Amino acid sequence: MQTTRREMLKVGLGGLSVVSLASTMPAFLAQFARADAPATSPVSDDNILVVVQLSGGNDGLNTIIPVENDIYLKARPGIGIKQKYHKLNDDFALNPGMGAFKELFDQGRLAIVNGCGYPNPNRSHFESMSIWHAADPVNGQQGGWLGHYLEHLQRGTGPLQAVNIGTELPQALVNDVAPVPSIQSMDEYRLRTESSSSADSATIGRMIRELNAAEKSSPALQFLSRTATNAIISSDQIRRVTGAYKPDVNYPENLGNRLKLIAQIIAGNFGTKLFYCDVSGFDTHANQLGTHEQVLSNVASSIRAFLADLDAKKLADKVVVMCFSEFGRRVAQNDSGGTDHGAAGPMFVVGNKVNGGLFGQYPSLDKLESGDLKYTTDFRRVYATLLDGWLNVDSPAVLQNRFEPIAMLDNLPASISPAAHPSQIQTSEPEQKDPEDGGMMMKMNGL
Amino acid sequence: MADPINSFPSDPFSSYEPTEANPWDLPKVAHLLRRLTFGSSNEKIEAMLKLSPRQAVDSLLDYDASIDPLADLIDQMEGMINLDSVENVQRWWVYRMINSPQPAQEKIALFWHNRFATSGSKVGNSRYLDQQIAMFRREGLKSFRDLLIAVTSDPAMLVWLDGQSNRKGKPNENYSRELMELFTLGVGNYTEHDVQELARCFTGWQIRNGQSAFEPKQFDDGEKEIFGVKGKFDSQSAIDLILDQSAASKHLSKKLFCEFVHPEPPTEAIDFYAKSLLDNKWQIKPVLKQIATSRMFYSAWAYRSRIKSPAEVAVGGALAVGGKINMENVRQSMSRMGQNLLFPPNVKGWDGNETWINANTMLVRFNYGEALGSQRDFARKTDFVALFDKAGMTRAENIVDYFSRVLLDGNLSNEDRLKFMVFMARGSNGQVGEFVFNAGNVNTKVRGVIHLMMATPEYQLA
Repeated sequence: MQTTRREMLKVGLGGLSVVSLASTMPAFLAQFARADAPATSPVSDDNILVVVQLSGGNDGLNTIIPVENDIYLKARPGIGIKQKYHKLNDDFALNPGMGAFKELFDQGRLAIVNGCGYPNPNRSHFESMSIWHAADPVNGQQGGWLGHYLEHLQRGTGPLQAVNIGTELPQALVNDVAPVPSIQSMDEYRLRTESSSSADSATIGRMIRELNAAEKSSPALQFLSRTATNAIISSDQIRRVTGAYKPDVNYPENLGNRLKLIAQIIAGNFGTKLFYCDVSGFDTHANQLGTHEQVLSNVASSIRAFLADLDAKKLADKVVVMCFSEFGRRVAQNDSGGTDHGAAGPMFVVGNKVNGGLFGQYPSLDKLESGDLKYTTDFRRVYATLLDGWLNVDSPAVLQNRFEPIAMLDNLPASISPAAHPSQIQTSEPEQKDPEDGGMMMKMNGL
Repeated sequence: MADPINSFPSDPFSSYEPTEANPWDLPKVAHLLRRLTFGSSNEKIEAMLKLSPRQAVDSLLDYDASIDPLADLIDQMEGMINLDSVENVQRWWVYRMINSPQPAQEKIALFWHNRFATSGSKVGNSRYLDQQIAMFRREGLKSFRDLLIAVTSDPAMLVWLDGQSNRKGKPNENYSRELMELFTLGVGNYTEHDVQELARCFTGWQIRNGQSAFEPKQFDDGEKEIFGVKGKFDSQSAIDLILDQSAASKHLSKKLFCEFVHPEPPTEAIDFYAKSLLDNKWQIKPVLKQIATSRMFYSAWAYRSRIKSPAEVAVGGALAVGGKINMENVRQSMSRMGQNLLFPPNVKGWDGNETWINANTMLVRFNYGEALGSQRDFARKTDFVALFDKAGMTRAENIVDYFSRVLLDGNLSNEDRLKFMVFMARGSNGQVGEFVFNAGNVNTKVRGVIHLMMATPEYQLA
């Protein structure tokens, strides 16, 4: 359920026209230059962020289960999970399908940020997804937060700064400078000419480039020819560097296949900073117990396999995976053995350089807002922490505001510690400090 | 095209009358066939050029929807095809898009499939999916009100948006929310309270023996309050309440406009056709005819103004090139281009236009042209040698112009045409000489020309 809205894409059409064709030429790739990181920064400049979108609205309460909580069990007589879960501590446990995440948690490689959301939650899949993609809780922004990051990099518009695995570019990656390819499989990601005679084959390849390089009269034709040129060049490049990849583990289906493709591109050492993929099946309105467990199991085991594959290739230290969903679900189950659209939910941050643990306050189960959990952690704090502490950019330049970081990474630079900018920090979080509210304060940087 | 490319034409809604300066010509006929169907063969273009614009539109839309022209075909196949797998239903639909004598009916069905986007990912029953598409074929040009009533109790929809779970005392709001948000009104035109109350109106619909059935015991017959109006509404009266909202006609007008005319509808056009929908008591066909005969529809502004869907690329290419086509290949190619029939990405459907295009889908589109040209993976070949020989079209420019006509509306610049002529004349040794008409040369060059023309940015536009 990737958000790809017409209004936002107009930015893509108009905006992309500022990219000259020269900037998509192969020569550019050869000169692919890295901006120098500030000498004092502990953050490596070749870190990679992989975003996994859990599409449909993941039921946070059955993902991070408040075990033996009376309110929870009463609200969910049919689908409250009472057994086979994986305990994280005395109060909380992972869904029974998430054994792989339990392993990563015990190894200190999984950070769980509870209660992520924003004020006045929107319960439309598309509106709420757009809010998460734009990092704008009032949903007025066009473009996406990762796109703004790419714009901010200002170190070139190479075709592979970011790669989306899927068919449609998510709004999060829409930007004015760097065309982002969407790739489904390596086999399809190439221009075929070989069934013509060898003499014609080369001519056809050249002519297709020419037919798509000519000056075009309309923005739509310009958009098409630029995308084609970019596709032909980047596919050549990417195939050259990824051919030698062999997976070191067996990947699960579904998300696993997408992460395998990402591992293949990472192993090609192409300099791609961002990867994006999604997994659907979270819109669990009816009979959700089994299906929800299945899809969570796929997420957890796919990410474990991905890290294991990268570990075997000595690449895992460069990669952090972030998972989010557009909203959580109602506290009370509905009458179909499912749950309807709700509000706050957990986010996951996974990787070797992640400071594992539970973060963010678990939302109170007895102080609900229209039957929904009230968020405790502005989701943009997770974005900001990753931008500052992993991607090495000044997060306010991307997100417009400074947000309090979360201590979920091993090496948070001192420059973003809360004390450095106390007056500018926007936590924009609801007052929820009442010790009686049933919530639980987790370890949180600066608190 | 007499009007300027970049602006909405003057006098947009009155009907287009051909003049010497603005004639009924190949680009206009091809445009009509691309928008109301999936594209065309050369024969179809020739036939349409002989009609007036009004006759041409009538010939496409005046079919009898109560009779399925292909109804007997599956029976005749004596069990060789069955609709018990979703892939078979997909292939059967692709077959119909290419071969139906009423191709506009399939285009309309696809339009509604994308509006009421229902996915096989949750509706495992392929028969339900086929029934839903058949319902779109049957109802698609009639009353939007009747269509909404049919959709509300449609078995595939009952599974897809949890209508089966929506029972008296146990409302499930999935369908009622999407009905207002996506199918009829748009966000901002209803409240959360309306969503919850509307769900109660739709209780009682269940699936029995593969058909929808109303179970009075499960229907919540109590009073509801929707849009501030109180009453003991059922599904029909609830739909009437929705259609009474001023947002409803504008919502549908906009969707029709984006699909059939231009992806950026001006407000005055939305308002005009919204009023027309109301004037016509929600009948779709007269409004679509009004659209497809208007000056605006045939303006330079609307021509090639949106990006072809994968169905338009794949089916259109197959129709233009002709011959027998392997349905499985077309089905898979469409899916790789981003349109897996019966599996829209979510209940909002495919966003269309620019969102079809990215680096990967662009290459898939080009590679489809390559496969179609070489007829690799396709079941039976078109005999181009016989085709051109019979028509006396044996020179290089005859062949280039023929494919330019069926694939690019004859709109090939002189410069590009010259490039194609050079391509035709290039021998296997790489030297440019003279094109000689023989089986070997025709087969090698024709595949290249088809591939190249389908790999132009212009071909991607509808």
